[in-house]
Amino acid sequence: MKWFEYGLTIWIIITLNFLLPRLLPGDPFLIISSDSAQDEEIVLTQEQQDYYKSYYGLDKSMGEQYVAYIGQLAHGDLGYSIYYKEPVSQIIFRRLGWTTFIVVSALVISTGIGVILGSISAWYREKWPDKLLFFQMILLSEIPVFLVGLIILFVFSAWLRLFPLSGAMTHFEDYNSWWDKLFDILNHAFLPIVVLSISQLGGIYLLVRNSMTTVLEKDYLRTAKAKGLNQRRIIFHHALRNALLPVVTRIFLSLGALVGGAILVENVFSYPGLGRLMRECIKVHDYQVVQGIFLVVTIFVLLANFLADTVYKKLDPRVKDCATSQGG
Amino acid sequence: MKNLLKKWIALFLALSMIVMLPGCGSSQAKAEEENNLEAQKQVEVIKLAGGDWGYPTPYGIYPRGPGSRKMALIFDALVTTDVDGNIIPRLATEWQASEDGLVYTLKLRPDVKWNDGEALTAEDVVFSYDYQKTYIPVNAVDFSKVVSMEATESQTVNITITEPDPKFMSTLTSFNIIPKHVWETVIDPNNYQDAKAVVGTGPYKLTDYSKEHGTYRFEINEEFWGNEPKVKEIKFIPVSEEILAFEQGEVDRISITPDVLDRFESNDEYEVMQYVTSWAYRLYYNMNNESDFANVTFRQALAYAINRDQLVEKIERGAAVPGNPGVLHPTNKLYNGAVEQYANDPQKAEELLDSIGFKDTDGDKIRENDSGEKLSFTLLADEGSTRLAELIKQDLALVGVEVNVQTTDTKSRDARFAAGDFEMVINGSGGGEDLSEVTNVKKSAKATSTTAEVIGYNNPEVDRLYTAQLKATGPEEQLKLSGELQNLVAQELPKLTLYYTNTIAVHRPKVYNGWSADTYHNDARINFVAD
Repeated sequence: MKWFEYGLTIWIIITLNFLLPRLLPGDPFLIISSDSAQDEEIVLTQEQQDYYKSYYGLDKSMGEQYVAYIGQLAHGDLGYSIYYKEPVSQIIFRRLGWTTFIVVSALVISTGIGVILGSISAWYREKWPDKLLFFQMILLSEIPVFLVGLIILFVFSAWLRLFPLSGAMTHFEDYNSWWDKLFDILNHAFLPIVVLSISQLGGIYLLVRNSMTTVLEKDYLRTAKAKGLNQRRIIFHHALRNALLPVVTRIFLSLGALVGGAILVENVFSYPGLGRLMRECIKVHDYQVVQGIFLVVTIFVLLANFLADTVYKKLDPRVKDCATSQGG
Repeated sequence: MKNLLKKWIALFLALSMIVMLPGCGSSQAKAEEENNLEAQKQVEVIKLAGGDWGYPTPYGIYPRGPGSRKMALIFDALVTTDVDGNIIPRLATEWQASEDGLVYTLKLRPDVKWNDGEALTAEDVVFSYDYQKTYIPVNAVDFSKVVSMEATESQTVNITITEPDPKFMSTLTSFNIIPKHVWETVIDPNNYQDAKAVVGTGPYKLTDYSKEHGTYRFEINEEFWGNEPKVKEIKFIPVSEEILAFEQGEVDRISITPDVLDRFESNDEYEVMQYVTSWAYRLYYNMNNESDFANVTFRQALAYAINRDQLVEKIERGAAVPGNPGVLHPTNKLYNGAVEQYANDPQKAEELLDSIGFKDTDGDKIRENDSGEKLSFTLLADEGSTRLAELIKQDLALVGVEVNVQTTDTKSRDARFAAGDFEMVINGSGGGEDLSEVTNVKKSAKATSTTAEVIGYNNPEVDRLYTAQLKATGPEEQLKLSGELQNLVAQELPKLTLYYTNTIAVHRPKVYNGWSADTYHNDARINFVAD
């Protein structure tokens, strides 16, 4: 049953992936304008437009294209990019690493810090540490991520010149050792990861705080307190285990939001990940790549869901194979 | 790399002092470029803003953006044009038309080598022609008039054309010669991104390219046949914010908008260059769907009502040239400055509207046309021209014409424009205009960027004048006929040019001062090699 659901979801998503970009008005080969005098546009003749359309199979009916697309996918072929003139899988593969790198790093950092701050807040509920944290976190989570990105870019890169302005590494550099290269990459990724972490931190903090507060009010913890157990032991040993259940789900589910955040952050920092690629492709109506990115992201989110399910079962013995929707 | 650790320490210090930040004061570190560059004839490295514009081959570049200029650093055509539009030699040194004007004989430059060491021969030229006829490159060459191309000797090519055409040589300026020994086995050129694909005869060779990062490195081609390039190495690196990257010395030249002009103009370290361009915003009417636009007096009234000087002031802060109702840019060789200019005059616009019976009869400040329909139109614009559309809306509201601005993304606007799914539309594009777009004369096989069709407009006299000036025997006759044509077009106003933008570029003369005054493109070949 579960597998059938996943299968159905994937099929619906593949179909939407196929349809949505094609519903966009506009044509990848029609060029009658440009953005500024900097841009030089080469207008494709009708003959060329027709040639490219048949080259990419876009002259066929939607039904035929759909069948062809499904057939391609079955062979693991994501198609061929109109704009980049390269197999889509290759383009995505090269970019995927960068996005995964900053998304996973940000996930780990924001979860770690969020759990700690949330626990502290819950313990000191309604006292000043809680009020201060709460205010700050609400503030942080309300500022749009691109704005945070811009501010950080201006302060730390432009003004203090502590970090590079853009990109994922120094180019045309001969590194002395892999260590230098790693350092260079970390140096470039630092600000994007910080910004992405900040964007996630508020949500995780609030969740941990709420969940923790509920747990702390439970009878068994009141007992623990009454027994005079050590504070840290109560929070991190007794309470956290129970409070973390919704957080685990949240971590996996927040992957989607993180990828969304990564799109903005990558564009602010010119970071060469999937998000930046997505923006470029939508701008030029490269259906094939847009489809490919959506598909890859979807598969990742589904995978995360699946993992969330599995992990949840491990952590919460109440959720058995047959009882699917109790715990959530 | 060593100072990275220091950076991290500094970061923690900075974080701890973050509250004190405003007090720190920003000491702009002066650019630490080498000072002795003036003494050097040849500059070692120029860094420019990158971005992926495709593999720089005739097939690999992307049709939008500066890909074609990067390709031009590697590949040569037979001839090119100088700034005045005269045909000058590149790979061909001499050319001669037969008496009947049907056969051109071109002599190739002797001893030209591909950058892999092979010699260029007439075979390569003929091969390039055959190949590009089969596989159309991104920037298609108009071969419609070519009957055949043959290598008569190792360095001589004969080109036979269908009918005498004094402008034939200019079609060869976009015909890039590719090496036969590389491409003859390639059957999918769009996908051919091998290192050998960038074997060319031009001044530079590609030594590094990354699609994902958008970086290119071009280094001087030691085998180059022409003048010594002024820069040994050109690097394109990704930047997020061009001004910041420029100020920090990451790139050596950028284009700026007028708002930040002060910042650079008052500083000796920088040099600002301003260029007029033929890139323009234009207003189009759909005369098929909206019969009101077919009324010439109505179009004239709109031209009086839209304050083009104010558009230039408000949107471009003066860094633009108000549109010429005669369409051609004032720097165009054929420009006629005496055409009707329609200086902003709302009162005159109202008089004209009254004269054709477009009056406000129900007192809602919006006029109705002669059959009682409200003069209310949607104006389609993309994100970049929204403000422009809003100002036009205000101008037209003053004379009782209602405009609803509709904003879409660029591609959607383009698609609707091309399909005629609009009432009024603003389109921005570059390239020189030749007025063919307002005629019904059969277009050349190769479209240009500005031939966006004027929908529903048909005037035999315009067509006649256009054809006549094309066939003019001498420059004077062409000037006269084109002048008449412009006069007529300015009377008829099938489309309205709003303004032509200027481009402003900044560079550090200390790093490199060889930027061309003729092109504002950072990466144009003319900046690095004289023809």
